[in-house]
Amino acid sequence: MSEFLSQGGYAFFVWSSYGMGLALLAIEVLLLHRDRRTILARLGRLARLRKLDSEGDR
Amino acid sequence: MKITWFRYSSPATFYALAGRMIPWFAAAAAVLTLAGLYWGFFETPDRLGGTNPQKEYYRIIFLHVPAAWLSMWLYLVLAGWSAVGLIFNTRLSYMMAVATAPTGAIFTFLALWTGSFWGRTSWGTWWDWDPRLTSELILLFLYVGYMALHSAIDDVRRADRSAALLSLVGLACVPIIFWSINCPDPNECAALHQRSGLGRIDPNILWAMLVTTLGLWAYSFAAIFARARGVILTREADTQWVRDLVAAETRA
Repeated sequence: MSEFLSQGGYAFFVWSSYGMGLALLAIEVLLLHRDRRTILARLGRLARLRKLDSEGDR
Repeated sequence: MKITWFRYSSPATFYALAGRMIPWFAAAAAVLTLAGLYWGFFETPDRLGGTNPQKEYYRIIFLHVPAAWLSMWLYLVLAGWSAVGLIFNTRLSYMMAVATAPTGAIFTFLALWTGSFWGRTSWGTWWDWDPRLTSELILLFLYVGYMALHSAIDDVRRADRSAALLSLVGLACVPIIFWSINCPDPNECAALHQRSGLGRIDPNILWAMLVTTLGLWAYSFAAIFARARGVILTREADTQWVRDLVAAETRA
């Protein structure tokens, strides 16, 4: 295991590369989840506003 | 027989289709990427001989090459959707182009970042104004320029068309990156990337690279479809189908 982690002494270079890859993809996935929740929340508020508007017309 | 080519160009149809496909692409991405990297780390030699000997650090290749291939491929996808949008004026094509750019930019940055760490170990330098490195950096600026231009224009249709045009102008960059190593005489061109022949690579290394590429390609599908669904919801907020969908989501 430690042999795998040390990558023949090049751990810094190998894991900096793969670490950045993992970090960027994880951040992208988290942002996509957050954006979806934000959009649905905004559309929900919009729907409630429309409902209030139509009730106010009566 | 009625041909329904344009059935999936309707945002409402595509929204539902993409929603069903995202879990499959995400699962394929996880399985293929992990399998490719496992093969790359455990079934390949630690050191490579030849004219350009490599130690363990060459294993950066299993992220570097897929990221570089995808950075170019996703730019072709971006420009392709832009062209379809400009020619047929279809709404969904522009939405797909907008959804593709951030993922493409991420892979371009990753190709440069991983290349830098490989370059430091292999060539003794973090960066060099070598033709391929420079043109890949320009590709990153094109992705960023596409997104910046799009977000700088308030009117969505004008933003779509202007950014699409920019992406088509930038298309010239992709063949330059691709062929920037095929220099006839290595002494005359200062190319750090050697002319690479896929057939000369150790089959284990080649397979690990190809399987990881497939995995990250599947990841791009999942990420781009997820982002496109957000763009569709935002842009179609006033349509009845989105209202129905929001009503169903809030009840659930």
